Amino acid sequence: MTTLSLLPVALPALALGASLALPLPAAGVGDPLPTPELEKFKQTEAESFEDLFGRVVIIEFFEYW
Amino acid sequence: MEEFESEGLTIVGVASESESQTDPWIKEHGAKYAYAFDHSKKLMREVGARGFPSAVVVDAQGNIAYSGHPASINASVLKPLLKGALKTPMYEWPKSCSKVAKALRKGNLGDAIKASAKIEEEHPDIAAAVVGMADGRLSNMEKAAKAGDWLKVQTIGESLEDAVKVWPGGEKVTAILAELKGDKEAQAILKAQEKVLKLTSGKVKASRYDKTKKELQKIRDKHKGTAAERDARAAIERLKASRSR
Repeated sequence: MTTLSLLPVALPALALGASLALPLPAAGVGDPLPTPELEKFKQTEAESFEDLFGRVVIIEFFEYW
Repeated sequence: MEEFESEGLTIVGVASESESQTDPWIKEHGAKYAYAFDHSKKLMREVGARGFPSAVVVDAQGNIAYSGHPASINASVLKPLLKGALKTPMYEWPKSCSKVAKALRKGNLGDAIKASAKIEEEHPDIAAAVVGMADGRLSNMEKAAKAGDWLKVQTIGESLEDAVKVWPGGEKVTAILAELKGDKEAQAILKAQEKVLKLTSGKVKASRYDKTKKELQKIRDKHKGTAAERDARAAIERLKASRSR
């Protein structure tokens, strides 16, 4: 077995000084919703998520395409 | 879905693209619901949403009640949640409730509870919702204590700090936190959970990958059968996943 075959596949990602960004543990059903930092509310008088206090809220993530 | 709006439902679309791309799309598709922007996709990551479209349903106490494809959200999911939801959104509350609204916007539950006591007779639903928010957090805190998730107990306790003296549930919060403080085993688990969080919050330098992994494995092996083991296992998986990207 050559030394080269021992090199981890992810070696390029571990170049000196590189950092790994760990995803945070996700909140799931039963957990409090992490405080949303949403901007520019449109088609509503709400200006922040806090304005929806006490309501049941469906948050739908979408993209325009 | 719109038929539930008068019963306490709000739908909010969350877009990550620019306004110049999103606004015309909304207009073209005739979407009438509210929408807002999260350009960094932070909330998506925080709730583990993958791909589009995806959705979460948040109950009236601010907890996630559903997470998945929006097509699966129907009356059977929503109706039980709507009992006790506020029919009037905050921006339509009368002036007499403005102090409650101001406190809630600032995230100060204690001040909101104090202010809601003054409008309770006139607006019992709003007062009940404010106290209900605190009661809901206490319930989560009790569940966490029962499960031995002491980091969650501490975090929720901190979020109720300003409410403790002005709300009946405050005594229970104080009691649970005192239990945590006086329990050496619970303290050890809490410290281990805090260490896991410290090791894995933010970025991990590539040069420290192996050391971080070893420290997490140590915590996992030392605290078997506890929330600290669970947290350490999950952190090791996240560490491995971030390396393989």
